[in-house]
Amino acid sequence: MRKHTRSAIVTVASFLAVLVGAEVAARVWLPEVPPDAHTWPRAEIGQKLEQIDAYEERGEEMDVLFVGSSQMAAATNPQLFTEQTGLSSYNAAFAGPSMRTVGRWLLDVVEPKLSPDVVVVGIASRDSNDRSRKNKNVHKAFLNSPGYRQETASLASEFEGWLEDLSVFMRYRRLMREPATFLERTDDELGEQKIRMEIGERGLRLEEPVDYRFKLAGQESLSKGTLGNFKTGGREYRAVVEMHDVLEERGVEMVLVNMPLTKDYLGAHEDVDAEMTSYRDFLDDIVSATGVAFVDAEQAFDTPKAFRDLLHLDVEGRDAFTGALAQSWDAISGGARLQMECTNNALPECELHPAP
Amino acid sequence: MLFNSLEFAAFATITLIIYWMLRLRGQNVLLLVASYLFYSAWDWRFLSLLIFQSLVDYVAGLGIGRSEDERVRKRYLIAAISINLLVLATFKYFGFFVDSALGLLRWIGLEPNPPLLEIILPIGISFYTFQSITYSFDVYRRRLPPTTSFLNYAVFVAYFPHMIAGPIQRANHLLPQIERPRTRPNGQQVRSGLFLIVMGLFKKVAIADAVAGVANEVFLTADSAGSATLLIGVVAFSLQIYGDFAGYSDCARGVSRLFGIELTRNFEQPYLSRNITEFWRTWHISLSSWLHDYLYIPLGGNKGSNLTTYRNLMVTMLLGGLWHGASWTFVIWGGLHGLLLSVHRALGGYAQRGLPPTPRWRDVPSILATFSAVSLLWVFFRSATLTQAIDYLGGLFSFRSGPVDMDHLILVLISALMVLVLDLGQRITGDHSVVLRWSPPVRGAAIGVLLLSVLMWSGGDAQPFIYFQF
Repeated sequence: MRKHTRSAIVTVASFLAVLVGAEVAARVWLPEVPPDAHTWPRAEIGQKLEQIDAYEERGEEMDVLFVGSSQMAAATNPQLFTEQTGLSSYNAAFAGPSMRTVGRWLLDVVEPKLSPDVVVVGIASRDSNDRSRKNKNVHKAFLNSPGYRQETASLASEFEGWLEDLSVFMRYRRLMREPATFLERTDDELGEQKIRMEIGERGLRLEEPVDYRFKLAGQESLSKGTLGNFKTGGREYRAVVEMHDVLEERGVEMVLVNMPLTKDYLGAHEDVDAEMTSYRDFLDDIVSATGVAFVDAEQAFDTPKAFRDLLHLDVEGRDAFTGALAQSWDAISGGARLQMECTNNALPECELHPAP
Repeated sequence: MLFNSLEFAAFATITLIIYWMLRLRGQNVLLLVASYLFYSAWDWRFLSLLIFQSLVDYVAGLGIGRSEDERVRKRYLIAAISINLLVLATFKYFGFFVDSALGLLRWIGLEPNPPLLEIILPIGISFYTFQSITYSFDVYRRRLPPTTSFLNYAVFVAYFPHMIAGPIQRANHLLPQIERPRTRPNGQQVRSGLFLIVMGLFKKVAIADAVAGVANEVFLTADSAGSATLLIGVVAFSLQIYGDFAGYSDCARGVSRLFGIELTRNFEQPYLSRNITEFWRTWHISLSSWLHDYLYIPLGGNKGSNLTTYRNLMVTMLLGGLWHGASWTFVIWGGLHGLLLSVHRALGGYAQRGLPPTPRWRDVPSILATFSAVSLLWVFFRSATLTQAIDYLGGLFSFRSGPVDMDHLILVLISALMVLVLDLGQRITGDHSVVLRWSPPVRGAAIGVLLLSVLMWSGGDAQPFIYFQF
């Protein structure tokens, strides 16, 4: 064999050995994660998208779409809403995102598939924290997820998707780009990703009624996570305004709902007065800049009876909240500013009044 | 069409295959068509501007070359340079001058309200305009005969591997290569061309893009970040801009080498510089040498008194700053570099011509000091406004506390280490493709590691090359 041919073969062999070595190391070292969890940062997103794709395939459009974080996912019952208003609706909210992630999910993925007439966006102070590291990580994980890239696909990203199916190194490379976070989070956060929800028709979370339980750990986690280092504005503000502007261009109305909270949730704020004032100013700025219809339900419930935890409504609370939106739908979609008030019975009832 | 995209890979490969099937004239026609297609992929509307500027300089070159009358030659030269600078001023600086004039009028109490005119900046205009000017100058100075072929001249201006962000080529270096028949690159040249492309992608994707997120994040939240985070942000941007621009230059040189055309080097390990003069001999060499030859020397260079030399340095660097962008942040950035160069000169410092020597341990403090100064000045370059830059530097030197993102710190340290290893390797050997001289197993493994790093960082938010905006 000629010298330079042999040299070329050795070069290529050692080159391939490095690639294979990296792949083997990735397979040995990295934890196995089910396909849903690596397609999307949350299994719930994949579950809802399957339903949405099925509606799209059947050419079934939705009149009303609910989006937001887990608060909105738990707070609206689209089946009940449709029953009471005669309008088709879908709850596309999922656990984890702040406004910038909701914006990308809504504008790039869901709205084009379901073509709603009205989009209801749920928001709370946690969604407005521009400096939250957790919000940032969730957003990055969402943007970098194969699922999102496939939804906003090009030929290159399809090729990349194929490579990721083939190679564990390629699949996990995004996690390895943030070594400290990756080493910290493995069990908890990767475990969180795997959680599959029981999802019924139209994106309804199927949950059993439970009593309110205060968990100090939950409050602390909120305090350090999405509410930590609290500062409103910036990207989260721009995301809401962008949602409004893009939807308006597409001929879709937007309604912003300040979601109901417990006092225990407020206790997770480090400086509750200053931070909630800043959050309410943030909402006022958005409403005056965009003229978006606005429902304030933040203090709708005096007690936590209607909640399952710090920030998620229980089944009864959900139906009362949804019922109030349905009853006043004409006023809401007409662009009014309304405030929600609820009774504190075991089976609460809510209604909307013009905001003071 | 970014260098780090599959579209560009397909475009360059197809062009290359057809190119080597053709003879010289056909090759040049193909290069021109490919270059205009490449440019049109950014914005086809400005293609006419590119062709217009090429025509102006071509005709001026012929006029200068055919006349023996110095006054006529000078008129052609002035006409060519004036038209080039007028186009540049209109498209790049009109808004800046209007805004600055309005700001001044408001400052003295007037409230002018003129109609707004939004002018889009044609991509690469600063690069190809400067390159065109070198042609007119070189023909005027009789360093180069004027080309009689518009095709060849148009290829010189629009040659796609480097037209968007350089390296800015001198006419006497590139034009003769376009005019004479090219030999098919041998195995060694192909390997080194491909290696330069891989190295360029590595610098762009695995270094610049890796720390771009850190720099973006820190500059966006600078008002509330602690000093340690602001320091990480400064270093991140220093690494980002180097990886980004040096990566582009390497890719441009590598692609061009496959077409049998050599482009000049644009970087020589600038962050290993021991003083600011050395930095400017090794950073964006094609621009700094252009500024030296076509601005600093015509202004008088260092021939006059010390004060005249400092003035010339300041003027050159202020205009060099303005070349980067129509904003006071760039002017201040250039001015501060001019000041540092003047101070270095006043203190008796100098930097020898040619490649600086391999650094020794005793050079470490001066290298760190130079890197720190250059990095601090990047704050002006990176900030959108002067106020933002001043606030950033104020925050940095307030020594305020704040949480440090460990991911950011680790990424910046890893990137800094990679830059150090690469640059030291190149400086010691004087070879940008030193890996190709290693033994086959080590060579293969090194290329494997480079490619793995590129793969590792591929598939995120693609960051455009920073210098594309100039």
